[in-house]
Amino acid sequence: MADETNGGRRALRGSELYQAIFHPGERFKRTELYRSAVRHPPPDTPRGRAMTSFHNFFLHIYPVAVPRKVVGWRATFRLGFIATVLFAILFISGMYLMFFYHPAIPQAYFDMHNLATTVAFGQFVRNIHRWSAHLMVVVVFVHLFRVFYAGAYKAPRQFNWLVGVGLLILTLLLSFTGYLLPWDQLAFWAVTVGTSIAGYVPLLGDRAQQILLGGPDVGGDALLRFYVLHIYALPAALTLMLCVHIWRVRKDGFAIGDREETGEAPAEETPAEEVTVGA
Amino acid sequence: MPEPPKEPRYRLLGVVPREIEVRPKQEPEDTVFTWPHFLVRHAVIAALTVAVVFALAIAFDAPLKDMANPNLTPPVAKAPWYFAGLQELLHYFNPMVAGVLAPAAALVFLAALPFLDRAKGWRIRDRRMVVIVFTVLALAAVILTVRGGLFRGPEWSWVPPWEHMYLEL
Repeated sequence: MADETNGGRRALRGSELYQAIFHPGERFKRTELYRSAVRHPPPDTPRGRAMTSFHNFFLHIYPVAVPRKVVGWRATFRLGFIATVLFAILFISGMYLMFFYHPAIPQAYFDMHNLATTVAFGQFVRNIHRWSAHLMVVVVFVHLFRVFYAGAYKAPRQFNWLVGVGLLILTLLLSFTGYLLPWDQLAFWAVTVGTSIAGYVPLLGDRAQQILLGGPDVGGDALLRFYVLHIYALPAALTLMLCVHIWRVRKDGFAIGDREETGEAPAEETPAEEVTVGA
Repeated sequence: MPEPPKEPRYRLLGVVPREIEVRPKQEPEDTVFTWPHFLVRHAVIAALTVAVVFALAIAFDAPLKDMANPNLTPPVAKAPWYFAGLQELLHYFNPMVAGVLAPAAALVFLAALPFLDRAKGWRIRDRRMVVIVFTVLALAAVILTVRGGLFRGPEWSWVPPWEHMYLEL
């Protein structure tokens, strides 16, 4: 009797209808469409987990396996990753703001009021963009400090430290160029103060200021220049450098889990190996 | 069509010094799979970051003053907070020194740091000199930034933030 019920239950669970209702995902995973897009075996075995990394474009920035020590929160406090997430938030919220912004005087300022009053979620998205920008500057600085005190700029990571300094400069420039765009008193005078220094650059002098602002003062040309730098040139440069930075992190063996035993930085040069290859 | 060689030809690319040859390899058990162990943690951090930003965006509105007016100077024109230290420095030195040479020197020092630090170890006790220099410079930058950002009012006069806050984000 009991066997019969179990057998019946098993048959029911195996039936197409039951599967379609209670496990629609399983059914979809057997379709040719899904199998053509996702080619790795299910990630419930070590092989499946490795293949999940190998076969996914978006995961190829990660290695298949990471040192166990790096997984812990205290290895890096995840500062670089948090900065990257903030950059992603800025990228997305910034695109939304671009739909409602004209880099012209005085329309730029009116657009700020439109964002606050007529655009759906306009003020909210502007707030997100502003606070994540400030947070990104803070997190990038804290990241720099953490890396310094961990000694993680030492061989073989000297170059990645250099790339990181470049990313710091780009972050500050992005924040500074974005500061002007609302075209209110706060923006205007902050950028006037900030760019007045450019007039003292050796050799170039006033010409440096002229190149930066497109004129002697902060005006319509400066607004347009800052806009183009802010939404195109600097994000593109930062994205590219960020890719190099993260790629190097991976190539240099992630944080510093490899140093615990010896107390010394890893060997500066990759040891030569006797390698023979077919000609 | 030439026939492919029967045996592959080899050439020497390098020779391994003896001590490196016997170096023990890293334990393979020391690693975990990125999927799911690392990715799950990244997902949590990303979600928390988004949550913090959303909370800030709900709690505080981005500032918006009157429209920019070149003829109306505000009581104090402050650079963004991360440049407040430089602005404070401008108060003491001429613009050539404070605005150009000091930040340029700081950036060059920062960029050259891994190449200046010739200490062998990575621990702080192995490289006291560079840690002291860096810490002193960093503290100076932080103090200048706090002074310039929080403690300065009209005409760059000394105004503590509990009397009046002139810093805008």
